[in-house]
Amino acid sequence: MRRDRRDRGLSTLLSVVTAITVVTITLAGTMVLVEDAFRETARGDAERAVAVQASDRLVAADGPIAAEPNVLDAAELANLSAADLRAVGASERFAIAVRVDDRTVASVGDPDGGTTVRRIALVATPERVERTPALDGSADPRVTLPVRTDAVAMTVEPPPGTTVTAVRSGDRMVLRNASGLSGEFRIDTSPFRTLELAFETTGPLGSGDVTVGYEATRTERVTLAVTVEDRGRREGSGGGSA
Amino acid sequence: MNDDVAGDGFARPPPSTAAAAPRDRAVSAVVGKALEAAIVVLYISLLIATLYGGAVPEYQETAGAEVGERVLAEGVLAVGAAVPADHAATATVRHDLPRTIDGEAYRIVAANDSLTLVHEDDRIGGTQPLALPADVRRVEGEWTSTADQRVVVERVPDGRIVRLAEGSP
Repeated sequence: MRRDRRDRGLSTLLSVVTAITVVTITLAGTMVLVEDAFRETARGDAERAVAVQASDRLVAADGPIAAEPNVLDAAELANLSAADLRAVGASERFAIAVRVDDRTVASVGDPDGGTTVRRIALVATPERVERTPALDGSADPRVTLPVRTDAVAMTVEPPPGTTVTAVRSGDRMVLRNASGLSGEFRIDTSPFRTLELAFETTGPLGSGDVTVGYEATRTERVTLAVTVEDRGRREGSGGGSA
Repeated sequence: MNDDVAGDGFARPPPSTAAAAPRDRAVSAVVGKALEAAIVVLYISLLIATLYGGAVPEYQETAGAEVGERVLAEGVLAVGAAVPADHAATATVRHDLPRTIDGEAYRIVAANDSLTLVHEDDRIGGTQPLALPADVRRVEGEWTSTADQRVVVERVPDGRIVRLAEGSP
């Protein structure tokens, strides 16, 4: 009780003023936080919807670059145009960029920031494979192809003294010539079964005497990232709380 | 507070512990309390006036605009997800909209390959584009927030149409 007794009534007044000050400061702080929170949430939903839709369209089988669902054609991916992006949602308001493994493939409006939707897709590249199977020089060798394909071009050049009379695939006789097979042959195969070719020879067949060539599809897993920036949000449907 | 108000009837017997206390000592408590009450009442009314005069309606409107954008985005995604990839397939998919935004019912209207949210408050609303498979000829119909919402995908001779429908199937 240092204070003079006559001012005792004022001490509660002082504490009221203190309390009011504390409440005011807290309230002001809260309002600043609320303003910040509103400013930060005031963007994104429209962008996200457009980005999700665009990435859905890009990987759909009837979309501009996909060969099958979730499998992109490498050639069409390289030719992805601004018109294709407009077809999947790009406009004056929504800027869209498509990136494949951090390499920008196409963009409309060049978005800066915005919302990114990433998905894993396959990129299929058709390629011609020539393969020389390793043969150990014995008679009646077997060759198994590492991939399934619907046609194989096979070249047989038997060494002198050896005659290839037949080529079988399982129980099926694929090629047959009693006087000897030599040259290039085209074999239709099933893309649904692993192909094993069995040679019937009169002598040894070594590496390099048989080569096979086929069309294969090389698939590569990539990350397809679609970035969308909503340019019309600020002026358009009234953003921010300021 | 002031020694001059002595003798106005508020005096009490001096406390036993204090000698020669002023006779108007009790006045300070009454005046102090009245002052406190006045300040608190004034403060609270000022606070209410400030909050409800500006900040709170603005926050409500901003939150409403934000919810509106989100509802519209979810509607767009629901319509997109309702269309099967198979061009021969049809579908009926339920969707749930919040019944009100900022206390008011609203509508979502489909037109020109986009959805538009229509609300009484001009700041709540907007238009968002739809990206649908190429065989979808048009998107039509509208949802009212207070009804049950469905997306109906139907076949027509030259493709499919997507319709926003209401009521239980």
